[in-house]
Amino acid sequence: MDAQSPRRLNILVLLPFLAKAALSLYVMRAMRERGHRVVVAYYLHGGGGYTEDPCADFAAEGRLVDLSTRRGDEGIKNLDELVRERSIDLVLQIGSPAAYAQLPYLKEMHPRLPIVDTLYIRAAHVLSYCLFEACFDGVIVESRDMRDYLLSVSAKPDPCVRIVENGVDLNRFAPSTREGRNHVVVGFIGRMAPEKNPLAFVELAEQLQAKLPGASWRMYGEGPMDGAVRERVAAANRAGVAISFEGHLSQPGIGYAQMDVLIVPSSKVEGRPNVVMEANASGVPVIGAPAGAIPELIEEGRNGFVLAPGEFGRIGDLLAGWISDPASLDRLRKTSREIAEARFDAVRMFDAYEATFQAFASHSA
Amino acid sequence: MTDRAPLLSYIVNSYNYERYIGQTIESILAQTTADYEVVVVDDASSDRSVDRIRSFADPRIRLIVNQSNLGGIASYNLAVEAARGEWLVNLDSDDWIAPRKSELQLAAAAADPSLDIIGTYVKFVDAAGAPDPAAKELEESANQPRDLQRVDCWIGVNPLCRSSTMVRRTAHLRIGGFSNPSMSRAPDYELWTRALREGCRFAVVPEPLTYKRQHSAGVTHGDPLATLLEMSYSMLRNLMPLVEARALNASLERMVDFVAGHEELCSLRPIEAFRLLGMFMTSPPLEDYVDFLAQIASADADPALARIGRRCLMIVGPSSSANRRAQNAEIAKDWWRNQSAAWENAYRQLSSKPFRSMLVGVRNWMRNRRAG
Repeated sequence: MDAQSPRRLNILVLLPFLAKAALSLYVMRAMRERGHRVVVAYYLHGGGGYTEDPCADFAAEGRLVDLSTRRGDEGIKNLDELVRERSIDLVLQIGSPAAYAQLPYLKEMHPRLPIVDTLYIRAAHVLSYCLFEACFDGVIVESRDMRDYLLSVSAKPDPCVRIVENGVDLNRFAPSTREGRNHVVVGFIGRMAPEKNPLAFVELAEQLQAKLPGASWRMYGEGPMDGAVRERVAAANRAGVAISFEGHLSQPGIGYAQMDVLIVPSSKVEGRPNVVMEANASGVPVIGAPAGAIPELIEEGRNGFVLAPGEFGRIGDLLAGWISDPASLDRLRKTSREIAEARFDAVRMFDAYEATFQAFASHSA
Repeated sequence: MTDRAPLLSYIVNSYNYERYIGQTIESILAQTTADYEVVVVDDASSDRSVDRIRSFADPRIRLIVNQSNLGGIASYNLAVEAARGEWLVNLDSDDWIAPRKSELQLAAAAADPSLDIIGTYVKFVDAAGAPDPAAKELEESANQPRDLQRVDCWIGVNPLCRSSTMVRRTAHLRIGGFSNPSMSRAPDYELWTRALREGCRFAVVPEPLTYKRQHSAGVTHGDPLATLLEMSYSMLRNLMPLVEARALNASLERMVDFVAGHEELCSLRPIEAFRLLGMFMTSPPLEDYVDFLAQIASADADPALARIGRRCLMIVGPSSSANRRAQNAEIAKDWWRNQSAAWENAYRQLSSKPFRSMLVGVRNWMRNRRAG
């Protein structure tokens, strides 16, 4: 290795479970392709309610470690052995509740080993991080919103928060044509869960249907609110509102191809949602709520608009404008893709993660 | 309507349940106990609920229509003020009851005159009135024999469906009605735990006589963080004095576990979560629910509260003892799985050819010995 080439790192990643399409595995596979040795350790079997990723690629290299039976002191001993035997340079905690209590003891055994947390949204593991933050050398977040929040709740003078903006595969999400479509399709793609606020989308449709007969409404996704959303959609349909509930979407690109604008009505607990970037990459502008990092993603009037889902009048005016002037929508679709290419490329995300990992690891070198 | 106070006052809060309230009132009119009035408070419904209520034209039904929407708590308190019966019988306007419900509850009251609050077992139905898809699980959980005088029955759970209850009017006046208008998610829980604190006696008729509708428009599950906070306040204000007075030390641990292990705890800012836990350790004076929320949010208030709560959480962990028990169960499961594998191996070895040959040899030797 010459002096200019980056250091090849041995990274231990602690995951709660192995969920397919998890950003963490997407990033770790990219790191492996770049020559880093990544050991994936998990605490629970299955996919945690999501489709499981068996991680056969990591297993084939002997770099998949099952920690599900190792609790308490046994678990700490296990982590210690992993760190020593695999010459780990960096430990990444990515949402494993059981790991939080173990990591301070690992730090006690390996004071120079960098241990870094990753926190994507305000809720979830921030409380655990605050309880155990003394053992962490830093935190990786995806947005300024999250960085500012962590700085406001941390007891450390400098918790060393680093922003790595997430991105999407621009080849996987590409614009489709609107030819043959003479009305505007308004879409929702997301988990049917309270934080994604799917009922606000239904309410928006109910409020605007009479004003916008040239609009139709389409929802994709699944989750714990499935039943409530279906029930509400059925009631809206009975009242003459044209909403279709399409359920689970195995290929998100298909959903984006069938809509003209994406509504992201998320409530207060939100991170830096991939759907905004995927939609833009697919040439679909976004009307997103002022929640989490959504305002950081949207450049007003260029790839979408930041509006609360209850701003029926302003959203209605936008949709009406696109219905009467389809060329304005086409221009917005074009700039949406341009912004995705300029800002949301996954390759940039991989570069940023790699640089951040190197920076944290260099503290111990 | 006569001047004599009826035995029962059914209290029905109505708000935009035009579809359901007819069935609710019909189920009251079909009761086998005849001595009653029905007090309906319509909270400025925007649908045709009021027309539906008026369509009954029964002199026992008294309708109060709010000019503006006052909320469920204020409407309930209005109904209680208007009610004259010896027993106040609650029924939400989307639920209904079986014909013998009140008769059987009154029989329970006659058998034990010390009772103040009497509920029934519940059947859970969907929006259309058919058995809810999760009815079996819900009913197995809800319809359990419980001694509701015990504090542990109330920790983190409301075992008493309001639509199933009748409350002795004198007891209700003694404990007060819904006194915290800012509560919207768990006011019943606060009322019942306050009744427990004030020495009211509970019973539940172990028959499913109340039909509880589960649908997305219901408020209970709409804001889980508010539910956690309202239940926490109720436990602090109403259950904690009983824990202290009865030396129920393990119940304190259960309350802390409930809060610490609640998935909504992390929706608070960490310092607020610490302060909430700190309250369970210190029981600071609380004027009301608003004061409770202010104490959680106040950055200027006693800093020791956050330190104590943080230390508490360091001990119990954000995952509760229930989770710890689940983890232990996982460990136990793994242990039994491993043992099972070991035993199976041992069995296979015993069943293997050399071992079987040895057994045959031993058997033959025994036979020969006996024969010899």
